[in-house]
Amino acid sequence: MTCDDARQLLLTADLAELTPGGPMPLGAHLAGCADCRALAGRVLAAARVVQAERDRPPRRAAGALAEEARRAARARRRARRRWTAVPALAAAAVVVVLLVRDGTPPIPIPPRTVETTPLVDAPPGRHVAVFETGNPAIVVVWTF
Amino acid sequence: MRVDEQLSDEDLIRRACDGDTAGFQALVERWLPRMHRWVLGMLDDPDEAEDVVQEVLVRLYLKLGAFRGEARFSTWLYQLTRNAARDARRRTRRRERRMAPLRGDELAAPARNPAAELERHEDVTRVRHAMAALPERQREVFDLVEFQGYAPTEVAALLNLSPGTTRAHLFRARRAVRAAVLGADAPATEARP
Repeated sequence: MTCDDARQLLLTADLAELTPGGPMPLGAHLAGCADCRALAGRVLAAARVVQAERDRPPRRAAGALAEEARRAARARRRARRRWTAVPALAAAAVVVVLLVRDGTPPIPIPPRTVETTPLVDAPPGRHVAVFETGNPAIVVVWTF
Repeated sequence: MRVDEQLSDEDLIRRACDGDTAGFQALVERWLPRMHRWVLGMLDDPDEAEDVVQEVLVRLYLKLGAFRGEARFSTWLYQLTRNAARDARRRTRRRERRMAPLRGDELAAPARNPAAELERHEDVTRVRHAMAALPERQREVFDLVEFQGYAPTEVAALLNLSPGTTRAHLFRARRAVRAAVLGADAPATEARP
């Protein structure tokens, strides 16, 4: 094997092959050629530095990380639930405001389900209620 | 409580989903070293890696119930890790863009990497630069095989790639990175797979 051949192999061989006396034929060439051995050594040395960095364990222990993750996940879940409640509360607030502003008594008019062709289709998995207000121009549609 | 180390990942997942704290903890203990290495390979920044690992664990806890066992757990977890690392990279880039006009040379942060001493080593710096220039898939495959000790077949399973594609990524990445390390001493590269 010539040095050119060996150096071509140096570019793509497994790291285990880059040691003198490693798998043939590259290992045999490296054992007898100081120049190529030096090049292989540089590739190996750089790889070992990065390998050592990858092997560095995290500073915090697994137990502490797991506990912190559990707590953070629960907080995130709670926050998500709060946000999903906001649209329902907002819709309820709109109904109340409309009823009060209209001057009608704050006792809500009983909701009436539209029996004929529905005004709106409920999104999959949800229900829809249609409220009439004292003002015939205003109808409140509430999905829940 | 110590959960039996003989339990499979699936058993631990089931326990964790049932609210068993020890089950989740055992799963984390089992996978944390690998997960940490993956993130280090993706970000090459130990400080940020720890934050990303924490985020992966939060997502793991929230999504564990969605793991149906259709893919290997390692592949599923790797994907979760990869997405969190990508989000972190995006955030870092945004932050850097915002900070760029404010930052003079005198304000440039010192190297946060504790291996800064070693990083001065020219060849290691060349490895880093060459890796940063690689396409993402090539970089992933190269890092997993070269620095984390995975066999190419394991990487293929982890990344959901064919063995042939994995080997081709590895071949190209090795050639690019080692040619960068050897600089003028590298031979002219031959066009192979």
